Amino acid sequence: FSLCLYLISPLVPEMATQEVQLNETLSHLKTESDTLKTKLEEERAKLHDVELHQVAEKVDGLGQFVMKTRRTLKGHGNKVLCMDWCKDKRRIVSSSQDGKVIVWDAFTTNKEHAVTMPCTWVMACAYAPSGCAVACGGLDNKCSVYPLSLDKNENLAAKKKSVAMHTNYLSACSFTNSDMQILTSSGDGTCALWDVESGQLLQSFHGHAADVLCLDLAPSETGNTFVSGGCDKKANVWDMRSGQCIQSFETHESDINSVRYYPSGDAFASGSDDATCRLYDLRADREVAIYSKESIIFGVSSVDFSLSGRLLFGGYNDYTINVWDVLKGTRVSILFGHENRVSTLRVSPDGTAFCSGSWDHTLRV
Amino acid sequence: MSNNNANNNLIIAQRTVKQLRLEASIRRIKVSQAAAELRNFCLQNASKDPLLVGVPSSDNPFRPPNSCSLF
Repeated sequence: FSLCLYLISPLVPEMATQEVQLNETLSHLKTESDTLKTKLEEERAKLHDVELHQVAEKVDGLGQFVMKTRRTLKGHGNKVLCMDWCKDKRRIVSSSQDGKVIVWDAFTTNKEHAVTMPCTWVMACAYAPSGCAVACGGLDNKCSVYPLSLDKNENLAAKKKSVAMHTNYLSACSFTNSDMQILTSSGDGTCALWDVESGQLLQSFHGHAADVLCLDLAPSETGNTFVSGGCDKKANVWDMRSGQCIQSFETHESDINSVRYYPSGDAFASGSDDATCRLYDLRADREVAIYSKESIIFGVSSVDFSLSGRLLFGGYNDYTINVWDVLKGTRVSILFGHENRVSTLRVSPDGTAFCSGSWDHTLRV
Repeated sequence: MSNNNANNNLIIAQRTVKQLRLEASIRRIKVSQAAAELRNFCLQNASKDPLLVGVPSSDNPFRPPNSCSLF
């Protein structure tokens, strides 16, 4: 190989030697990287002394669950793609394919605000912790913040503030502990932290090899980390301050559509196109449970935990919601009602209810 | 230039190795301990979980609206 180069370009023999050296270093690094990957798996396996459901054997089983739809929110003219609860436990923001973002009062089912975005497929929306603003974005590659005013007649679109700019679609967004910072994930393969007021990029997170589809912030008690999931089948845990990826999990067999922290912050669940939900423990640094059934073949679009972490709700592309016993690994209930894919699902802040949004244009509480 | 490509691959490979070294070096606990703590958290908080234990109709903000509601 190098001899061939020498003959072709005899005037640059240094380049030829450099190339050989680079190739040697490259293969050396590849070997080291493979060795490290094997070592990582071995270290994780050494501590895998028991399964979660075994530890939960003596725990009482859950009885029959009856969960009814209490409210149906109608008003979107197209597929509902995302929703988020307000901290006041009654308001909800939802976004849809036709560019509409609506704020609802879930108790009364009244629409309180509506904004039409200049783009379609608004895949992400989030409520600010103060309840005074909402953020949303999608095919416009941006995340914009709209302050919510008490005056119903005020044109919300006029006060819109563009905060985040990605080079591909916005897949998810979330305010951090305050209204001042937003975390975003994008089809451009990165996540980013932004200052709302100035629009400045505070930190970017690189490591996913493909579109990042979802993210979730760790519960405030556990510190400055967040988890993201992507089309590269990986779930990554990041340090928000350094931008470093601190843990990475790759056991799903397809895109990860949703990630959600366990209420204690020590674990997180993921939902994937491979039709399974999985639980990863952060301190054991491995997957500790898989929630699946042979009869379930459709992808999971969205997951969330009940307040105690005992129940895991999964919204599926077969129009159903499956409720899993997190500890025992069994399904406790299957909820029907939506007439198309369930695309988004969140438990309310006080755990009294959960809301699901669907391609059937409705949200159910 | 093939040299540039090789350089890029080198940088990527170096980053991958560095990242893997970081991930391999973190402290881990046994699954039995981690699982026990997950279980305990569930059990300790079970009684406060409305979707698990249910709430009396009078406290349920989403109960079906009654015919007579005074706000």
